[in-house]
Amino acid sequence: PSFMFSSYYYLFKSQIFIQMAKPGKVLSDGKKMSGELFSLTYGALVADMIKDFDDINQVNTQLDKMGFNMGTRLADDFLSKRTNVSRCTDCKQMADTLAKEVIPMYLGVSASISNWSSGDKEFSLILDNNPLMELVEVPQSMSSLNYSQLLAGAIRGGLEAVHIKVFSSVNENPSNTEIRIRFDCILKDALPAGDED
Amino acid sequence: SEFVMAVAVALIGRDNSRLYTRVTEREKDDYEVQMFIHCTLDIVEDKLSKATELYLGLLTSNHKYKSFGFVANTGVKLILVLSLANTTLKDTDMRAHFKRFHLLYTNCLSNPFYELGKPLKSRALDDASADLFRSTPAE
Repeated sequence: PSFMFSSYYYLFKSQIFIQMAKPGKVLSDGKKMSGELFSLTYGALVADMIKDFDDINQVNTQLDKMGFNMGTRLADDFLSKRTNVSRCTDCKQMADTLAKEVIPMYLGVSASISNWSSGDKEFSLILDNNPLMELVEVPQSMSSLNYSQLLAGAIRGGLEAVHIKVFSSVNENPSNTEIRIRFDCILKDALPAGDED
Repeated sequence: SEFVMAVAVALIGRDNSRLYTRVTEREKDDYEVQMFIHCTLDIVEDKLSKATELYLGLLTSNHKYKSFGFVANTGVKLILVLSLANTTLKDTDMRAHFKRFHLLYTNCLSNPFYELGKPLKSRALDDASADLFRSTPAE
């Protein structure tokens, strides 16, 4: 699985200029990839993992780990491209940055924030047009699968790289994908976030 | 817009395996419709050799039904069964319906949980079929 993650990481990183098979803006860098290729690749990855692991929960865990490992690397990538992003002082700022800058940059879609709880330490990122879920119908027999858990893991990894510890999970609702994020603490020991095996 | 009030819709694989079949609830005699689809498939083989385009048009009819066909480049066949009394549908309408079903089929293929060759399970296909069978405005 580790080689899977690294090749997928580069695929994911090139999605910075994702074009969802619609005519539209050409971004300055000129790099594009078909949105369908992205969705199909991720789908093949998940389907393959389900075959490899007996337990759906193991698949969720694995997707989360892969996402985490990617996220730790994407943090630097993001900050190098968005130099005007200031250090987040509270969760609301963090949520805003994720919804308005990070998700659009890497997934090409916008996200909204809702369902604040736990004294403003927990919130949901709602993706109305999750590109990963395009044309995907998870069978009833696999209803415990968190299909987009990679995204939750990536957010957790990216935040940990900037020393913010969160818990994250995904809920696939009929009309959207909900990424639930709960702030835990600031990581004081400035050890760089390492790979999770 | 016009209600198609179709009797049945079927997607058949290149090897003639039944990928998807839906018959309207109005039709009491499911068996008769299935047999008709069977006969239609024989005609499709015939028409395929002479076909110049994907839309095959009217394939066959009996005392109750008539069927129309469409074949994709991959050999997947789409059959639409209508009541013989249904005369409002034009050729252009039929083409549009087949195009829609063809697109829905390719969308099913894009679902990573779909195994090629197995029967199709898709909410979108079910909704489109229900749409075709409807004879009254949707609730």
